[in-house]
Amino acid sequence: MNELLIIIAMVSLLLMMINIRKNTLAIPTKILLSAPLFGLALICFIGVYGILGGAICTAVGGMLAGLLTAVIAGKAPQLLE
Amino acid sequence: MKSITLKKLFLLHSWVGIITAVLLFIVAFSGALAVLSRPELKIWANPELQSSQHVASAQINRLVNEYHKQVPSEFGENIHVFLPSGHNFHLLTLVFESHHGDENYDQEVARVFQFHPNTLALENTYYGPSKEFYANKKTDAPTYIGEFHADLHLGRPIGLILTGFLGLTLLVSAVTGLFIHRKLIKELFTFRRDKGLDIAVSDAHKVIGIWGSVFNIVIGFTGSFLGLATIILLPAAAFVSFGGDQDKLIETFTAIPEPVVSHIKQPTKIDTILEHAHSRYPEAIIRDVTIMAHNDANAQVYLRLLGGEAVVSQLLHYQGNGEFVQSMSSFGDISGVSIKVIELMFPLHFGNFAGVFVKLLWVLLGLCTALLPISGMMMWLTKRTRGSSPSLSMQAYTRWNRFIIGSCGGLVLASFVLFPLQVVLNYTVVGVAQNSFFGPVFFYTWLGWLLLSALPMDYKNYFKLTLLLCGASLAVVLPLNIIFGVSNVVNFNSSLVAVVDISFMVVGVACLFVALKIKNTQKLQVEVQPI
Repeated sequence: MNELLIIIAMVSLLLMMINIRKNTLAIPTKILLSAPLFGLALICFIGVYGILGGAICTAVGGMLAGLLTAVIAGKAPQLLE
Repeated sequence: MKSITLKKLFLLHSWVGIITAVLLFIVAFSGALAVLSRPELKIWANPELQSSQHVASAQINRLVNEYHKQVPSEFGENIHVFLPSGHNFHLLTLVFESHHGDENYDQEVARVFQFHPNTLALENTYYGPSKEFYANKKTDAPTYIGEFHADLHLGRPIGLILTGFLGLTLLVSAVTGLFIHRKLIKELFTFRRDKGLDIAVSDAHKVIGIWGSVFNIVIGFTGSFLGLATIILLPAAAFVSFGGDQDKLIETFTAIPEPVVSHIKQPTKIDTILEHAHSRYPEAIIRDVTIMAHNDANAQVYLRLLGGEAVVSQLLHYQGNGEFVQSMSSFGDISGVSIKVIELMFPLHFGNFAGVFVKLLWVLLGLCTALLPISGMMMWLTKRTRGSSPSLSMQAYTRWNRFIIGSCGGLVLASFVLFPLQVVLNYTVVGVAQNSFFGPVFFYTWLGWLLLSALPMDYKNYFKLTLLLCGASLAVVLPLNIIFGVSNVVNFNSSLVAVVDISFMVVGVACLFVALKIKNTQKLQVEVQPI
């Protein structure tokens, strides 16, 4: 069960990053899509590691997800343009 | 921010990075490996731990009682039981300590008995000063790398000050890097792989710097605290609050006070206490047990726990009769926000507050941290070879590149070589005698590879060779373990050993694959000539 929650959390974070990276979406749409994904990841991690551990894992998992998105997806259309 | 301030910050970022780049890589890379050193790689490295990491509570109680009878009464004041969890010793260890010495020693003295975790057969005994026992305990490849990360094997306090100082430089570099990067949000995902090596390196430096910034700041801050705390902060705190009396300060923050011995006999229920702790915190690992005034009516028992739902390590306090007293931090039952922050520093630095997944996050981000100083230095060097009047000649540029590969690649190679060495040593050398091999092999490999950088060879070939040897060192672990190891992927005695061996093989093959992708410079020239 824990493994499944971790996978769901990481996939949510990756999807959130892909969503943020997409420059065809307006910022309010990005926030609308990203917030539930972030919330889902946070809830999953809290379910596995407790409140403090879950919060730390979400932050660190988010960093790694962002990094992976940047490196794997390659050059992104520049944000805020 | 004013452009002149940004310029100053840029200069600070560049020079701090250039001066400490190689050292920062060394500490960050060894730190990334050290995250997995305890208990995962330690269990992998010790066949005794592979067989079992759990000893029944009743057996521990029996052994403590049996061996307590064999030692003089003064050694019963303080008994430490180090469980074979992969965090301390490779054997179940009972340490009977007398703080005031005995007829042979004027200092703290210990009688130690070590047992095989699976068979519980007596493997080692020791009698002598406590300090010597802890200083000369058996080490292994992952522990050696972990200790190298802590003080670079320069001894204490010099090593600790240096690593603490490097933590500060990481902190400075991370913070200044965020300020000088003016397109922080805009270039959040900009990584141009196809625009040549220079642009890819520059983008990688920025992307890793931005995404890893919080991690780098946390690691830098906690690292500098852990390095400098005992050397600078402890005397400073003692000077401010305890009139310079460091002993009094330590006494205040020590969670385990000396009990008053009543001399009334009452059995200490170690098995009941261990069972209670297991049922209360089923996910946590009990690292060690401290029994004060064993089998006395005033006996006190302390259990050190790691993991479970608590992020910070816990200390459970029990009465000798098995009654639970309280759960507290390793600093004792001290209230206040600052102590909570200090407690959090350890798990935040080591990434050991939860399972393997969290550790893998720490390893990956740690490796990214190691890449930052290298990519920064490459950017700095490339910038100086460009333009109409470059300040760095191509020859100097090549020499610098060879130095980076020799020092940083040499460290990676020296670390990786220790793993096949560990497998061979487990087969050929018994116990503490293994300790004498790790240092020479590690440092001579590193030094040899660094000296090779003085030869006038092309740095791309040199890099390719480094990668080939690194890959070969890791890839050879699995077949070596099949030939020599007690547990391996064939007999599957330990799933952890099988997973670690396969992971080494995967990383090793990946290194070999990347190395073979790098074209030799001479071949390149031959291909280019006809055009």
